[in-house]
Amino acid sequence: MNKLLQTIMKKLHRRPKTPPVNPPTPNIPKRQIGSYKDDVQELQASFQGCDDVKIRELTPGKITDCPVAVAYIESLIKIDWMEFAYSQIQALTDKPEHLRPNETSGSMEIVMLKTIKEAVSYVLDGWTVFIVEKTNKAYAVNTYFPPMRNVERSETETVILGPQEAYTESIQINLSLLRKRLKSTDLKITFTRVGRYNKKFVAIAWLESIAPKEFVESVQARIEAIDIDNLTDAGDFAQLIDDNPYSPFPQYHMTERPERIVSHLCDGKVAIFNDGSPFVLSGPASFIEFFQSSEDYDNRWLSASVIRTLRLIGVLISISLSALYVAVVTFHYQLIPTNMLVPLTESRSRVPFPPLYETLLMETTIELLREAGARLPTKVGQTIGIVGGIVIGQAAVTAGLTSNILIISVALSTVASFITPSYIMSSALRAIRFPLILLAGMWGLYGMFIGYLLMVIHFLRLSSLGSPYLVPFAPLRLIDWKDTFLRAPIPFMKYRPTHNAPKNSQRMPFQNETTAPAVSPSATPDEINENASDGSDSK
Amino acid sequence: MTTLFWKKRPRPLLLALALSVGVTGCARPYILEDLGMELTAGYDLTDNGKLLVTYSLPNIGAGEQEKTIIISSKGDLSKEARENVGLATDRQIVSGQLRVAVFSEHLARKGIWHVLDTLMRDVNITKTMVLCVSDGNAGDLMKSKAPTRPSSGRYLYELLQKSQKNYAVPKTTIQDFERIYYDQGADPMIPYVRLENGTIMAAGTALFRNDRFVGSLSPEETKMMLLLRGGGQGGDIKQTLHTKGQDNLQDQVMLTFVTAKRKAKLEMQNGRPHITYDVKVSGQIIEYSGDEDLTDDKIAQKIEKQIEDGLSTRIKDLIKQFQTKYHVDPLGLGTKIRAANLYPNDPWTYDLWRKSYESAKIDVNFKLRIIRTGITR
Repeated sequence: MNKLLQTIMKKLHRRPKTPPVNPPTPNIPKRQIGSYKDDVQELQASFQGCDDVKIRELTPGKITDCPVAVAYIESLIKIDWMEFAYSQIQALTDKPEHLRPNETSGSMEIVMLKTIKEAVSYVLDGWTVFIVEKTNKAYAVNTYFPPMRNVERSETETVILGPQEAYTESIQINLSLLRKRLKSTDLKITFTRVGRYNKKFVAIAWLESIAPKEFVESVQARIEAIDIDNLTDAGDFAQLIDDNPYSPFPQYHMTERPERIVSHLCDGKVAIFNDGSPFVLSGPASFIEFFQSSEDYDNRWLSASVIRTLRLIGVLISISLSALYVAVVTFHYQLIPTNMLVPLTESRSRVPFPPLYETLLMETTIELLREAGARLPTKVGQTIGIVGGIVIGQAAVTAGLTSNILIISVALSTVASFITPSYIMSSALRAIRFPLILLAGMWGLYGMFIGYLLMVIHFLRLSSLGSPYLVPFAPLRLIDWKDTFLRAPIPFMKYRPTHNAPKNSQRMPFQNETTAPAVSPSATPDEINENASDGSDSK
Repeated sequence: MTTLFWKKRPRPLLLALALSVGVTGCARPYILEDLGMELTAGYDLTDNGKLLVTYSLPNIGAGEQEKTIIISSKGDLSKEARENVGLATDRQIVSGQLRVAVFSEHLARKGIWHVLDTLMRDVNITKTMVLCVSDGNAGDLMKSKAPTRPSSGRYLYELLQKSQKNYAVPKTTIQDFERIYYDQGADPMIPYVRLENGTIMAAGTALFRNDRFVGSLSPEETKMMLLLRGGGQGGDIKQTLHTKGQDNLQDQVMLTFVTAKRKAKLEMQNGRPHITYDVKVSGQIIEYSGDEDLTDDKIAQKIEKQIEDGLSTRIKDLIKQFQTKYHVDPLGLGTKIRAANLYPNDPWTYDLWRKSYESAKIDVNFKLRIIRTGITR
C-alpha cells in the first residue's frame, strides 16, 4: 500500500528529465578593460541584436580631443544628464588620477569600471558608459531616469480617514515615501538583486533598535536562496519566501499604503520592497492582523472596535453562510426556526436541483460576476453589475432555478467577504467557502465542522517567518488581545505586539515616567513644529 | 526552507481518510422539500385500545390552497402509527419539527407515559416541546380550522406560547414533565386546551398524578397557583369588591401582578407539616368599575385588603382541592418538606410524600400593594 502510494506521488510530481537549464546568459568576457578598440568591439558584440542600446563613438573635434565611446539605453536615461556627464568625463580625461577604481565620485555619481561585464550590467541598469581612448579607461555615470508613475491615491486599499498616497511601481519613489515618514538612522535598508533575467532590486527595510535580528537574517537568507528567471510581482515573490508555499493563506502582509508599512516597521516587522511592484511585503504576519485596517487607528476606539468585530463576523458569514444553508436544507431540518419553516420550504419547493448543486451554481455565478467585474474596464463593469443584480438575481428565482433565501445568503456572504481589508486574505477566504459547501453537502454540519477543524489545524501549523500564525490566540498572548476583536484606546497600546518579538517592546512611557514631551525650553518654534509633525505620522 | 511535500513520507492514514470521502458516500439526506414535517401530534385512544395518532403537516408548494395536511392513523405504538401515516403521503414523515403534542383527556386519564417514551427517546424531537391535554378528542381539535391562521398546528403552538407568557397555562415542556415525573415530591402539570364553537382556547392547567390526568384548573386558578410557584408576574386577575357603585352593582377590579415574591416557612406542628406561604404581591389596577378615588391611600388600603382576602380564600380553596379532591402536588410541596428535613428518622419514600403532603396544613398570607392605579383624567 505504502509503496503504491509512493509511486503514485512520484508520478504526480514527476520532474522534467533534463536538469533545469540556466538562462542563456551571453558569454561576456571578464576581461579587464585596457585597450580602447577591443573594449568597444566587445561591448558592441555583447549588445548584438539589442537595437535600443546605443553605442556611439564621439570623434575628436571641438569638444574632445580624443575619441570617446559612449554606450547607453536611450529609453532609460535622461539625455540632459548624459550631456552633463560627458563634461565631467572630459575633466577626468585630463586628470584621470582624480578617480580610482571602485570609487564613486562627483555630483553625478561616476564609477570607474574594471571589466566589460561590469560595463554591460551598468548599461542595462540605465547608466551611461564612457570609454576614453586617451587613457584607455571606462567610466559609468548614473543617468538612470525610467518612466515613473506619479504618487496617486490607493485604489485597492481605500480609506476614508488617513493618508491617501500609495506606493508606485518605482522602488525609488517607494523608498522616498518611506524615508519621508521615518527620518531616523534606525531605519536600515539593504539592497539585493533577484532574478536571472530581470535582476530586480529588492530592498529590505527594518528598524534596527526594534526588529529582532533573527527575522532580518531569515528574510535575507530566504531572498538569497531564490534562484528564478523572472520575478513578476510582490505576490509571487512572497510565495517564494513563504514558510509554507502550499498554504492557501498569505503569510506576509501586502500593502500599498506607506503609513501601514511605517507602523509595521515600528512594531518590529521587516518590510520588503520589490522594484516594479506597488505592493510592499511585511512580516511576520499573524492571522488577526489581516483584519486590521490602518483606518482603525484613525477612528475613535469604539467605532473602530465595532468595525473590527463586524469584520470578524463577516469572515464567519463569508465562509459558512452558504455551507450552513446547504447543511440545514439537506440534513438538519430540525434547526430551522418554526417561523422560517414555511417560507424556506416554499422557496425550496420550486427548485429542481438538490441544495448542494443549487448553492454551487449560485456561488459560481457570483464568482464569475466578481471576476468579470474585476477584469473589465469600469464603464463595462457597471453593465456587469446590472446583469448580475437584476437578471441573475431576480430572474433565477422567477425561473425557479434557486430559492430567494439562497440568493440572500450568497449575496450576503460575498458582501461579507469584501469587508476584509486585505484583498489577498479575502480571496483566500472566499476560496475556502467551496470545500466547506462540499463538506456540508456530504455530511451536513458534521462535515462543516470537519472543515473548520482542518482549517484550525492548518492555521496552527502555519507560521510566518517562524512566528506562529494564530498568535495571540494560540499561543495565548493576552497582552496582545487589546488589538484583536476590539481596538483598545490608544493609551492601552503601551506595548508593541509581542509576537514580533521586538527588541524594545515599549511604545510609550508609563504614568509614573515622564509623560510630557521633552521639548527643551531653548527649542525654537520650528523645531517644536517638526517634532509635532513627526508624531502625527507614527501610526 | 521547507521540505517539498512529495519528498515527505506519504501518510497512508491521512490519504485513506481523504479517500473515504469518495468511497463511503454521504450521510442520509433529509432534503427540506421532500419532508412531511410534523408540527403537531395528537394522541387519542380508540375503543379497542389502540392509539389513534393525528399529525398536522405543512402542505407547502406553489399554489396549494390547503396549507396544512391532517393525517390520522392507528397503531399499537405511536411510531407504528407514524409508519402507517407515511403510506398515505408522498412525503417522508419526520418528527424533528414537532412543537406540540396533544393528548385527549380520555387517553390522559389512562396515563400518557408510554406515549411520551417515543417523544423523549427520539433525538430529533426538541426537549422544549410543549405537551397539552385537550378537553375532547385530540384529532377533532387538530382538524378544526383556526380562522386567522393557515394551519391549526401552528396556531396551537403560538396560542400556548402566548398563554404561557400570560400565565394562563403553566410553562412546562416535555423536559419539565419528565423531570417532575421522576421527582418524588412534585406532580407534573401541563396546559389544558379546549375546542369551543370551533375555536381552540387555552383553558388552564391539566393536573397530573404521576402520568395520569386527574383534573383541570381554569386560567384564573392557574394564575393564582403560579403565584405560589414564584411566577405569575404579568398575570391578570379579577376581584369583586364589597362596595357598590351608583348602578347598584358590586364594584369589580382588575389587577395585573407586577412583582410577586413568595417565601415558604416549614415546620412540624402536632405531627404534621405546617407550611406558611408569605406572598408579597405588587399590583397595578387596570380596570375598576367603582366610583371611589383610588389615589386616596385609605381607599386603596381598603381595596388592597379586600383583594388580599379574596386571593387568600381562593387559594385556600385551591389547595384544598389539590389535597383532598385530586390528591396531587403540583406546587412541589413534597420537595420542600423533604428539603426541610421534617422527617429526620424516616427515609424519604413515595408513600411518605403522599401521606405527609395530604396531611399538611397550608396557610397562605398575602401582602398586596397597589403600586399603580393608572391615570384616568
